[in-house]
Amino acid sequence: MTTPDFETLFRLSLLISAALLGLVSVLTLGLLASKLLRQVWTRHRLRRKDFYAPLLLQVLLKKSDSLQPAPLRKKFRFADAAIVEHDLLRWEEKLSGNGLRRLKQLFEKLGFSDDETRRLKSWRWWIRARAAQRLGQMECKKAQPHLLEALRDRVLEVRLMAAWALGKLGDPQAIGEIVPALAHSSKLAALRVTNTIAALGPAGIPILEDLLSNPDPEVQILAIQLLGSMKVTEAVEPILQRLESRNLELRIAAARALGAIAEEQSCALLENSLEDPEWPMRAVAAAVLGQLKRQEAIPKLKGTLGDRSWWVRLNSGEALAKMGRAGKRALEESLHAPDRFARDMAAQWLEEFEQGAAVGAVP
Amino acid sequence: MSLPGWGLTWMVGLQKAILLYFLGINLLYLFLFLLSLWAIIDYLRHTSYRDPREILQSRLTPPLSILVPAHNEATTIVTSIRALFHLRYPKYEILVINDGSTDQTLHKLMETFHLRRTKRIYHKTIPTCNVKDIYVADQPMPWVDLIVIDKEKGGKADALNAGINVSRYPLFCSVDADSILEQDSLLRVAMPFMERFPGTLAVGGIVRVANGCQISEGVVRSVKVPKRWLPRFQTVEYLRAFLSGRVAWSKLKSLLIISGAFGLFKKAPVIEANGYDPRTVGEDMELVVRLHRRNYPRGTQGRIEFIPDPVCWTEVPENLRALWRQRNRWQRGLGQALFRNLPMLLNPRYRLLGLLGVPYFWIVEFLSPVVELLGYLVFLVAILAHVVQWQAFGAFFLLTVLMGMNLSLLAVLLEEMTLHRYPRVRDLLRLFAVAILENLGYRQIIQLARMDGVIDFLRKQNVWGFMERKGLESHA
Repeated sequence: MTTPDFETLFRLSLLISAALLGLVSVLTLGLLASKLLRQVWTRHRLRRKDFYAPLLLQVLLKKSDSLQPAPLRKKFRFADAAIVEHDLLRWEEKLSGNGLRRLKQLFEKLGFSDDETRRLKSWRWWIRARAAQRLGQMECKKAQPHLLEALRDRVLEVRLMAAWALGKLGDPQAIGEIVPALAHSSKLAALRVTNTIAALGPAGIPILEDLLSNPDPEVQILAIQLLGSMKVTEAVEPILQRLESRNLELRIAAARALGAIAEEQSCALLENSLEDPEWPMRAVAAAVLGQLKRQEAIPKLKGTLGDRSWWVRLNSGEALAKMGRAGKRALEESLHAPDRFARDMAAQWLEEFEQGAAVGAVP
Repeated sequence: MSLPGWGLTWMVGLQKAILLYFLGINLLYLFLFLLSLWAIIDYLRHTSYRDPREILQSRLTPPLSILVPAHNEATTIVTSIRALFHLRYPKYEILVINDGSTDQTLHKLMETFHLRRTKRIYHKTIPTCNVKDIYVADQPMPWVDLIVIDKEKGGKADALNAGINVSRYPLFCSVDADSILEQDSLLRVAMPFMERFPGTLAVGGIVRVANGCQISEGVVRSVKVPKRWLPRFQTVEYLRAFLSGRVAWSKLKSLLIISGAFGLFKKAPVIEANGYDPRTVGEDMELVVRLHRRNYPRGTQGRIEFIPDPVCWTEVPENLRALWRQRNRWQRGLGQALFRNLPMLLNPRYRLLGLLGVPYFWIVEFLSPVVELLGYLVFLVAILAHVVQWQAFGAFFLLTVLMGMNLSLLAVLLEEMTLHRYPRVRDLLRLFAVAILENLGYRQIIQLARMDGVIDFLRKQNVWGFMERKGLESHA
């Protein structure tokens, strides 16, 4: 080495490399230790599980309705509560009827519902989400106010789990809180809410209809989607009004919901949507009219075969291909249309029609 | 040999600069590793609350088009397409683009899938070479359409553009013909689009080495480390690039590449950006950089993400010549993508991407072969000129080897700590051994191939190069 600072630099580099190697070694040892610990824990868990299984069965199979979990709780040693709770949650998936009812009572009496309610306040979001999930799975009714509070959690997963849990509790009033809490989230959230609200059944419909007058368009959109997926015919009238909204997303959601509900009275207004200034709306309207096989819409759909947007042309062609002979005739006539794009699209869909392969595409 | 005074000063200065460079990137890699570890654990925690089956059953899931460009892929094409039929996704179409193959690619496709010519109209939304014919298969599966586009040779980018023009759905997924997607990979890669459709531009998944794995009927049945050393080295390289690198850059919102072997894109912004650039050999990276460049200044920067669990298995080169050609091409592609988007370098308009991501790709990814080989050269000259002793050269070599070893070991550890795709302890030990041994020869060869790529880039060579295929099912 020629200069001292160069030497220092060189030594420093070697030192950092050695430190990195040290880090790798520590991580490797940590990994091996964690693997070892996991194995030890699995063995311990299996032993304790075998110990508790007959005791739990004894409590659950007793003829008397009064469960006596206190002696069981007294036997708990280190980490046993977690093992028993885990077992109860697994049994919940397998039991039904009276056994399931007693299992849920036992879960509460052993204090697990209180533990999980406390965990809803944990600083780690995954603990909060898991607590909401467990409270829902065990249908702990007294946790409802805490779950409603969890709908305002900053982490989406916690909100989703809380919504799911509230759905499991079966109180339709919760819909009024769930929809606004998740309306701004994502398609995934909408999907979860759909499942949750479908599980609540028709009792939730009036609340969803009320949400149509919520000032937030996102809440309205989600409510419309839900009413559409539940095929609520009573909601057609207020949804039809949304076809004239200034908000494009709201108009699109309304058109799709009307397509799902498939009520005759909505078709005429949907035809007007083929003249919407926004192409996504025209494209959706064409797709929905095809889905409804609305023969009266054929002249307008022939017109939109030459739309300036490719998506509108594609969906119009598909809609006509779905309308049987009358649609086929319209496509054949369009082969002589003055517009080149309309001719091309008609030729393409006539071929699809002949192959019987009219498939759905969405913009 | 003796050096003049100024030569001596330069030599010492250069040595210091090279050492500082290695020191800097070492610290950066450590930071990226820690970030990746945190990001993967966080991602796995989130995904434990998301069930891909929900997406499978939902009518809100956007349908997608899978684009498979194929040029002389007769050996692998049927296996690859069959594997795509097994994917779990509610609605998708497969578009194979036969890019002027001179082998039996089209014939094999026609024979196997009973293709028929269609009257489908070809609109050049993005300009491409001429399309000769479009074929469709008669409903191979109820939820999948298979379309084959036969076109004149225009390169991979041109083929992908033709696929985009014919595709019908709002998302498209580019997949290499020599790759296999895992059954749930589309459901997983579509997850970010389900969470925030307007805000997501593209999502990439991890590419893993298929050599050595047991594959039948287009499905990877058992994951094993390859038997041959060259693919083994690449296994560790892929882990390092994807797990330690892309995860961290994605977290920093500075991801500059989504592998052409497997990436899901929103179609509309790609069409707006005029699709893939056929003048580059690294079309995948160039498109991603261009999407960033277009979107950032408009304030509409959609997210470009990498997620570590949707897996694409790919066949990697088993001989040195093919590997050399591949790395040469990757380096040229990298240079083209970076050079064409030079205004992004150190540009605060692109925030962290311009100030950290792009400089990283310039200094570390593009220039590292130059610096490393220059380092060896400078030390050799310095030894000959008696400026340093040969022990110093040995120490420098040790330093580069130690650093490389660290990075690879960290990547293998990351894999084991999070995703566990290699269940056998034997395989894990092999990967650890590879992480150490790859620095003693393999890495230097790769650096030479990359250096060759840098030279070809400067000479404006734009040849793709031929890739030999064994066929995915022949590796077991």
